[in-house]
Amino acid sequence: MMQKTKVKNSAKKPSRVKAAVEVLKLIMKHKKGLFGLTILIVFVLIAIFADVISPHSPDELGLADRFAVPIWFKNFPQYKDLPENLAVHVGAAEWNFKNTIPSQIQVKKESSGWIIFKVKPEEAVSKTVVQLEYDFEYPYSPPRRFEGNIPYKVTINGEPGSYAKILFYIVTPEGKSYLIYDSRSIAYNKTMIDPPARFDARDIALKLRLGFADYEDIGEKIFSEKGTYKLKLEIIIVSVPRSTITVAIGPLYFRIPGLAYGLLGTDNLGADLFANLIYGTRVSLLVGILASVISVSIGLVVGIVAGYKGGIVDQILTFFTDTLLFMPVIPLLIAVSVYVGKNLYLTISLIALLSWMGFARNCRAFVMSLRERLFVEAAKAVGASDTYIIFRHILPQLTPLIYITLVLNVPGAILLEAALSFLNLGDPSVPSWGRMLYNARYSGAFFKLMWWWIIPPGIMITLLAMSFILIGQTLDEVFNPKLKARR
Amino acid sequence: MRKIYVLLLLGVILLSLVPLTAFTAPPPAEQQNWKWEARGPRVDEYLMPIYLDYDAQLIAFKKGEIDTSFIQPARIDEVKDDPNIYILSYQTFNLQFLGINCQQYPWNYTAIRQAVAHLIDRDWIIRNIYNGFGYPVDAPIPPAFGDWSNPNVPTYPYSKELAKKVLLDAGFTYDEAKNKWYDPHGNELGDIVIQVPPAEQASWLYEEAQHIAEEGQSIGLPIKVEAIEFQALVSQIYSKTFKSFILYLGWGRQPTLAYELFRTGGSWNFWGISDPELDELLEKFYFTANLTEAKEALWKAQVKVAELLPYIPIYMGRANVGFRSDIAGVVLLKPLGGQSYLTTLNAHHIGMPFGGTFRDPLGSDPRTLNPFTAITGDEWAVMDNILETLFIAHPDQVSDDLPWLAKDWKIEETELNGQKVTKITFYLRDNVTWQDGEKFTARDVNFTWWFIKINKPTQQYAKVFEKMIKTEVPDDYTIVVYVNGTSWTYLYDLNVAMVPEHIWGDKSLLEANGGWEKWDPSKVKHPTKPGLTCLIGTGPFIFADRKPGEYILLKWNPNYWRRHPSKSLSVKVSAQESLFEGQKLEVEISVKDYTGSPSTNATVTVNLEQNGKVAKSAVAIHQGNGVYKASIDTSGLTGDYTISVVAKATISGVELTRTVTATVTIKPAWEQYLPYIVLLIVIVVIAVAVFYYMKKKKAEEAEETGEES
Amino acid sequence: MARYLAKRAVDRLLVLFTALTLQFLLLRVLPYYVMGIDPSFFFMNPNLTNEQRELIRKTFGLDEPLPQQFVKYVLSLFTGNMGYSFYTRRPVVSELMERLPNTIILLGTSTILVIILGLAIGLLVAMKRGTKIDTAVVSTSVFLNSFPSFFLGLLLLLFLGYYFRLFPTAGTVSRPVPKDPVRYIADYLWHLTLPLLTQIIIGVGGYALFIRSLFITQLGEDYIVTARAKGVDERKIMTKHVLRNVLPPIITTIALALPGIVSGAVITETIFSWYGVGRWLFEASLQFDYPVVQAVLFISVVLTVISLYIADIVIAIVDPRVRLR
Repeated sequence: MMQKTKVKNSAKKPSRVKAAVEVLKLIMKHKKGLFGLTILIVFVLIAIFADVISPHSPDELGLADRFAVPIWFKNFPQYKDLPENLAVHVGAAEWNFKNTIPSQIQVKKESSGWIIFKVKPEEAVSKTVVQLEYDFEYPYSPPRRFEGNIPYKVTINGEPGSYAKILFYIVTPEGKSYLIYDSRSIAYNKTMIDPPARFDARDIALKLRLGFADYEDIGEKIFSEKGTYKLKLEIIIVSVPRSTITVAIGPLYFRIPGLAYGLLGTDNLGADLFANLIYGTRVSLLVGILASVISVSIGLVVGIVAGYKGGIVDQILTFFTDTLLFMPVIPLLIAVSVYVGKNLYLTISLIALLSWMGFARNCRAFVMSLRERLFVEAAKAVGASDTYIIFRHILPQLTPLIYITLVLNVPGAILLEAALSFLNLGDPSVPSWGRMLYNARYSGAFFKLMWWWIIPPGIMITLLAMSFILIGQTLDEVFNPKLKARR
Repeated sequence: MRKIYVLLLLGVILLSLVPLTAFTAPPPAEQQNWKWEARGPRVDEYLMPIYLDYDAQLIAFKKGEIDTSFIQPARIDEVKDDPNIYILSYQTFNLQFLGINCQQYPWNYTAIRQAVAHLIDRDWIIRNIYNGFGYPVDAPIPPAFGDWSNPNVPTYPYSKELAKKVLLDAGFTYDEAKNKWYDPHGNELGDIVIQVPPAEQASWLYEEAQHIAEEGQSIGLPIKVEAIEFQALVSQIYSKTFKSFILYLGWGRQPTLAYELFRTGGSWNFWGISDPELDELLEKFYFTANLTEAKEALWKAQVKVAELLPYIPIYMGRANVGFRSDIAGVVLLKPLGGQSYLTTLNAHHIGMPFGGTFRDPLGSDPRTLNPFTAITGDEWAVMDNILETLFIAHPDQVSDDLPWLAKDWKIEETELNGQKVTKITFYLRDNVTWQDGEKFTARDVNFTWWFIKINKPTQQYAKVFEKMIKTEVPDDYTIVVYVNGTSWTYLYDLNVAMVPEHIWGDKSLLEANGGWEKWDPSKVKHPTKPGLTCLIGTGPFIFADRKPGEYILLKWNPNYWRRHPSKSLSVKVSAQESLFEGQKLEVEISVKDYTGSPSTNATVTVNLEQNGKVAKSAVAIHQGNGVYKASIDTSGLTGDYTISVVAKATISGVELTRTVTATVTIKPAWEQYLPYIVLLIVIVVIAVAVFYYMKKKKAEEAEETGEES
Repeated sequence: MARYLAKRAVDRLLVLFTALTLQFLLLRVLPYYVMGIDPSFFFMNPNLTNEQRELIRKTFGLDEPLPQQFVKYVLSLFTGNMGYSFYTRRPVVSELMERLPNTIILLGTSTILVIILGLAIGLLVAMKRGTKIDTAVVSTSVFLNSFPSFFLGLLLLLFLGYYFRLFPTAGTVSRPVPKDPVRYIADYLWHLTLPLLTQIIIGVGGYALFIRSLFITQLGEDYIVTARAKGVDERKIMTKHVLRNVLPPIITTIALALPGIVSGAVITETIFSWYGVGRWLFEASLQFDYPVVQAVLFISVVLTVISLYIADIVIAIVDPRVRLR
């Protein structure tokens, strides 16, 4: 960030580049400064390469089951068997046909995974049951749930009376079978492709139908042991004379969302917490820097005008500054955020608008002392314009103070934004660290003792704020000899 | 230094390795087999601790500091494995819906509303955001209303293809290359905004709206989500400047709200729809005394509403309430709707049919306990235990009514001054008293109704009060009300919480405390009865104590008109059945309270009564372990007497009295000598007999000897 | 002296009045006239007639023109009745009184402890500049300064409240409330521990750092160096020169901290569900309950003005030079 500001300045005055490099070198000489700068650079890199570092965006929901623990927990004996994401696509090639298909049924397997059953017109009523099975190994401890979908399409032509029925079962190693999906009799053309027929272990209707209480996790009950489970599809086709019935079954998708996922697990909606942490860096840096730049700019203008002009202008501006200083910032910020917040840039502006007063006062005092100096008096005597004096003589003198304040204002803004987000006054569409902590608090992460959710954002905020404080202090020490006048 | 950090971190990691257990407790048998009784209350105290923080409430519940707690869907994992907790689940009447301002571009296109309806993936929302606890609803009147709901209305199943088709059919055009939509006038479609408040405790609503928006964006529809503070949203809804919002609607057990929701100019018609055909149907639905007609009209209206789509129903919630496993007597409304009022009367601890404390948490601090200004559910949760209504929902069939303060009612259509009016007559129970001892009469009902008509308290002021013409009180327990027009809903709107006239009608009392709107009767002392506040009703519990931000305590009403007969002292008397005058009558009395433990502080008076007059009286003396003894001198008394034992004991601040009688016969004192007298007589008789016999024998002997000699 | 103080008083009063105006603009005019938020809507029921709606708005004082509302607002604040809460419809003052004791206990104790600890640590470190203790204190303070205060509260809650269950996680007393007064106090203190700890830890680092730099700057001033070189007694340097220059800023910071004792700590009180003024302010903000928000902000501004004015007097006594400025 330091570099950026300097580059901007250098466009006007190339000699500044050297000065900036000098300052940077001075900072590096201090242990504190070097440490702060290193942390900051790491954070900036994280912010820039967030997409690369984190494989998912924080908006992607349902990556694993909700409240999944970090994957590295599996190194501990208690969590050794925790289920990871397990998904199977069962297409035409994977299904095992369990019974012989009567000759009047045409079976066509397509490369896309679809199977098409076609019953041609017959003289008699025929009923056919097709059973398809697929075995898979479940090697983990019981999961909480499962989900999946089956696309299918039923086409019926001719006399009424024909129907098809599609049933999906899960068969446990013990041979107990659970009816998960029941299409009911389909006696008309029906397309279930967009969306496909879906089933989910969380459905109340399913739980009650299978005889479980509606607060029980049926994934846990059905996949209660390790072993070979069967997915079974039963297609019942009844055709009446003089009609054609076609049943097309798409590839079945079956998934058991994991209870161990990613570097930091998942939140209450199954989003990746690590992604949230990484993307939060962007938000915090943006808030900190933008708010600091705005507040320093306001403070600078007010300070210079008040200090340089003096008289009634000074009195009015100082009075206004003092008034704002008298207002309790955090309560006021909260009260105002309630109706203008909910948008990141508004929050940033608000923070900036309520934090420029200290700098304005410092700036004014400094400018006042400069005004009396000889070189200013001399310039005035020569007839230089006010703007000229301000830009040529006063601003350069202020530069160190500006830098230091710029840097030291950042942590305050970062902490304030985090606090506001934590109180749910922030922008809900922005994955900030404060919001992460808010979500943790209100989805029961404390109750569940999910420290891996709570501690990282706090550490990130602390480190980022600390890096700015350290750099600011170093700058202070570097510039201090020149800045004695401000005390 | 570094080592310490490593150790700390390690400690944290080890702590998280708590073994995972799974145990689901079913409701206890006593709860499962519980048959509700309309009498009570069984517990002595109803404590309502306030937990503003849900985590704190859940911890207290798990620790057993409270007996019940609402369980949020996302938090069910944390309680379901606890063997000391069981969960009851029920469907609520709360409908979540997307409400639309049909006046605002582009929502004013019916096709846009229909397309968005096609884009709502209810299954996904319920599963992922509400963890499965809900039922998808796509009918304007949810199927939960039974035969009020029309099953054959146009529905909008989730399908992007259908969404596109609806738009294309309505003249919208789609530019596939740019992924943009154009309205029938050829302009690029503006933002379709969904507004959501940050939900009370989590950003669920936001996530939900975001999902709908993403579905829309995937087919090029510019759906945007706007997060807005709840208050601000409410402001916009009322001023009809909103765009569309996702919120909840609490339907009552009768779908009367439909009339206001969809009628032109209806007070809940925020959507701004106006359809003459629909209006006519709704008038028919509302202004009829015939329920079949009302249902028929509503069925037709629903079809119309489903076509216009001013609001898109999303789902109806399922609530989970946890109870400690020693709680029984919870009465759930059937088939849906939640806990019945009768839970208040029936709930108790297992093994303790009477007595004890039921601890039911509140999630917010009640602002006021004034029934005419209370708004929040927590405020009513307190007052529902104190104030009562004329009838309540029948627990076995929620759409039926169970007579309560009124034992019966009659609805007639008549004419008054040439106008068609509805005449409703309520026949009240004659054994009801207010908690301060005054009788509850028809005048109180009359007062409450007129109070509402005149003062128009926002929550109770329904159409019926606007149209109320006059009331008549032919006797203390009958009230007749005449209401302009005809509607089956009048009956329900008249069923408000009854307040006592002798408190609320006392103008100077109200004025001295800031007027009816500002005063909180629970904070004002009762004018005559010490220990009571002005918050009195006819209900099973009396307001006892309150500490702001901490708790509200209610105590049972011993004079409750539906008091459980078994909830009293149990007194056993043993005494002689008969004795003789002058002897001591020994009476042994064993006194137990309703929890079954011996009462040691009772005052037991034994009266010997004859023909209602007390002949002798004595105070029994405690012998230990709840056994009392009294002895009464019976000299001077004869005849049949009643031993009337009056036991008085104070249990948790309530004085209980129980009178038990026995009979005793006191015989005259001489009767006790009767056996001796009889014996004496017998002896004398025998002796005389023997004497005569001997005499006779001697004489015979003498005769014989005389003959011989 | 009197003239100086009189001038100060006028200044402060002017500031107070301007602050009030600003608050009125920000809290009443902006939301209602710009954002279209009407707090009375919360109490409305769609079944109401227009006449009733007007009645409600009237009870809220929202029907009057702005200048009139402003005058009423200022008058009500200064007469101390503060109006009625929109939300509870109870007098703001009585609502405040319910919460004030809790806040004063929490913030009063923590403020005093922070000042004492901060002074002690800051002084100690300033004296031992450059030693290991100095480095340790400075780095810890920097760390604490960059530590989000709410995160500290959350950590304490997580570890001491949830993991070890040593302390309660919410509220000011247990339910049911202990009847015995001694146990009640013990229970209260038990609930107080975590929020108090949070407040102290947050405050003490920054304050110690402030005191340290204050003393170090003073000790480094030329005249002190000269005095030392002259061989003036160290104690005399401290009392005569350093203290005189150091006291005014210390007094000012204390004066600035005092109003917080009444207006509360919003975030800490929210995290620990402390029944205090700070959380009340937060909740009232969410409910658009302006009379409450205004009253709390007003009290805090008034207290700032008063305590700063007292600070002015004290400083004028300690350091007569200020009167001349």
